[in-house]
Amino acid sequence: MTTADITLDDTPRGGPRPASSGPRPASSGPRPASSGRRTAWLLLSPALAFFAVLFLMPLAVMLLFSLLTGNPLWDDTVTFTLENYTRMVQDTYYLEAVGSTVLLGLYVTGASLAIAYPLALQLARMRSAAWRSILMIAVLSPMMTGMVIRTFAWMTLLADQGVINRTLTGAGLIAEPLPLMYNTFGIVVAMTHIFVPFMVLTLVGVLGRIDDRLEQAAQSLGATRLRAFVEVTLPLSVPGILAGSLLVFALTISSYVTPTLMGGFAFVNLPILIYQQIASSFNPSFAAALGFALLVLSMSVIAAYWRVLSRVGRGGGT
Amino acid sequence: MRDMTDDIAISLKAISKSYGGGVDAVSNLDLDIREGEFFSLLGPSGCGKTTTLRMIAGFEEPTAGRIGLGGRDVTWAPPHKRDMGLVFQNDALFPHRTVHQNVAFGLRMRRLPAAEIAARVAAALAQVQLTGFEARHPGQLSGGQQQRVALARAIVIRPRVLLCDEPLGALDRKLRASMQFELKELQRELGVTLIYVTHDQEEALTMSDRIAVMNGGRIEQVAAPDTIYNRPATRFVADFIGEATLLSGAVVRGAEGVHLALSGGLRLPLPGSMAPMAGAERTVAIRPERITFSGDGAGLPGHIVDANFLGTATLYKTRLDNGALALVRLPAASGEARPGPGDRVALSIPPDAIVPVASGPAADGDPA
Ligand SMILES: Nc1ncnc2c1ncn2[C@@H]1O[C@H](COP(=O)(O)OP(=O)(O)OP(=O)(O)O)[C@@H](O)[C@H]1O
Ligand SMILES: [Mg+2]
Repeated sequence: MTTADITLDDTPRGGPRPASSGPRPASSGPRPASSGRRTAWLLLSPALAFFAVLFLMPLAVMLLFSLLTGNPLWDDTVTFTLENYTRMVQDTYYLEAVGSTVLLGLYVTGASLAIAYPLALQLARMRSAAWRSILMIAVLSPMMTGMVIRTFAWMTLLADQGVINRTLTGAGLIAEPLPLMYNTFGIVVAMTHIFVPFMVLTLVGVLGRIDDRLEQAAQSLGATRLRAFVEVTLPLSVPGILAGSLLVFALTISSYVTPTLMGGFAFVNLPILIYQQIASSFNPSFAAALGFALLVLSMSVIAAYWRVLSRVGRGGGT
Repeated sequence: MRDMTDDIAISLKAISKSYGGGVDAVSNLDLDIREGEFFSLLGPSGCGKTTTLRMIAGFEEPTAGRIGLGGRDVTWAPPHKRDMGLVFQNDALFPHRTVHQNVAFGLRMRRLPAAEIAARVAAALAQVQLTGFEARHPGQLSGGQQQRVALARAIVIRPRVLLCDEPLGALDRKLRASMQFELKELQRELGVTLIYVTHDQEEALTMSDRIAVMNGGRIEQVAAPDTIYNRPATRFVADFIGEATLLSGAVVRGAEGVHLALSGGLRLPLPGSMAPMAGAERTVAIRPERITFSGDGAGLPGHIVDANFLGTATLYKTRLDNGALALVRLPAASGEARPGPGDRVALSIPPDAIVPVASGPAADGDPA
């Protein structure tokens, strides 16, 4: 996206809006093209340099590594190969890791959305600024604590000898401890706890900008409160739902610490696999290939997101 | 005369609304709006018009008082059970829906068959002169077009009561006049009770059957337009509706009838009907078109401060010798020599043009 796009998108509410809120060509701006564009590039250059050195270059190195048989720095017999990729596809162990990565992403995203949406709606509609601030602080306060600490907190709650299981066994309600940890369930619980604030923040931004009078108009036309919500607020909040989901999904599929701690060794996703390849198997080439698989996964999610978003922006309606 | 209670579409009884912070947006409002009536709420910005309308529509709960709809108490009924069409001050169209979908919304909620929906939407869009705009989104329309879509969306459901909050605010003069006419026609055709909020007095005067003039959350006067204009009940109404000269003094009964003793020794002859007020301090209002410059020098002496040519008339701002300001409107006539700023004049005010006005909100002065 260019700067021209950003300023154009900023038209005031109710004013004439462009036909589509999806991506548009930069040339749609009415300003004189050449000098304005040169300034824009100039302003962008620090960001571009940063991006090139810290993102594109490592990526290129990683791509190179994933196509080599070994590390060229201390091994001079390395050759080009596709073996790292074929290994990933042929061995079901790795495919399963890809599958559980995606599944974990979907679970955590769904759970975060289910918890965050009602919260965000309440926050956005709160009339009293004081209460809104208090609730916002309550939602965001978990972010003040480190992720590892919060994960340990969940471990003390969910472990076989944790608070919940000890209480239940002590009360005689269950004989065997419930499997709350060292499985996908425990990971989803801990990660949802971590990502709900992200989702709330994203949703509040979008929900807060929806005019209350739209639902009121729907009600005056005969819709019940629920119907008015489904017909008006829900579709208008789709961009927020998508943005929040994208964020949480991307963060989840690339997370390492919480899945390791909460999953024990029963759970393997791509980041864990990559770490193992680097730290214990000393196979940076295969790790690089796995990293690329993760990247492709994220990219395809983003691409799908843009497709849906631009369709909504064009007014998919019913 | 028919039984009054059957006749009342909406009744507000002692309605107050406070948003907190001590000030009432609306206080102790009593209103009875008749079935099939074109009723306007008129008043300056912030006087509580929108708040009143929102309470009638059910989006705001009154702090005190009751709201009746056709004899039913709806004070606590949810909006979707009130069968009222509502046109918001800023249209509030669904941005993610096309014009057609916006207008069809209320019909869809009523589960009408698709063919009927299509026909009624087309008819409503034709009524607001927007045929051909069906597939556009609100963001692709001008402000005036958006307002017309909002109007179509409200009338298409044929509600019992149509609530309009300055629905023609964003239209240019010509379209506004034509929409005023259309709206009035439509209201007569559908026989719908229409509550119309506006701060444009001309609009209220030309369209309404009755007008409630509001000020600071209270009602100053409820009456038919000609009564509001010719017999304003309060100082505020006289001043807010059109232009008026306001003069204050003691009512004195003398040998040659009653007069108002103004400061500076000036005397304004009053109509005989004001004789009972003798001895009291009163304010009277006079419309500028009822005052003339007398040829023989009889009348209130003063001089012209300013003359504004208005096309069909000239409006003179004059200062009486006691310092009070008076407005005189003379119809345009060719040939005649016209007085100009600085000229001395005498103002001739016929007694029947003089209306006593209260200084604050009066009791409901509706003679009907
Ligand atoms: N939600 C609210 N919270 C607090 N005060 C409010 C709220 N809505 C309106 N008010 C106040 O109540 C008073 C009446 O407002 P209202 O919107 O009814 O005015 P109005 O007559 O419709 O004015 P306008 O012609 O400008 O639309 C105003 O003083 C306004 O500031
Ligand atoms: Mg208003």
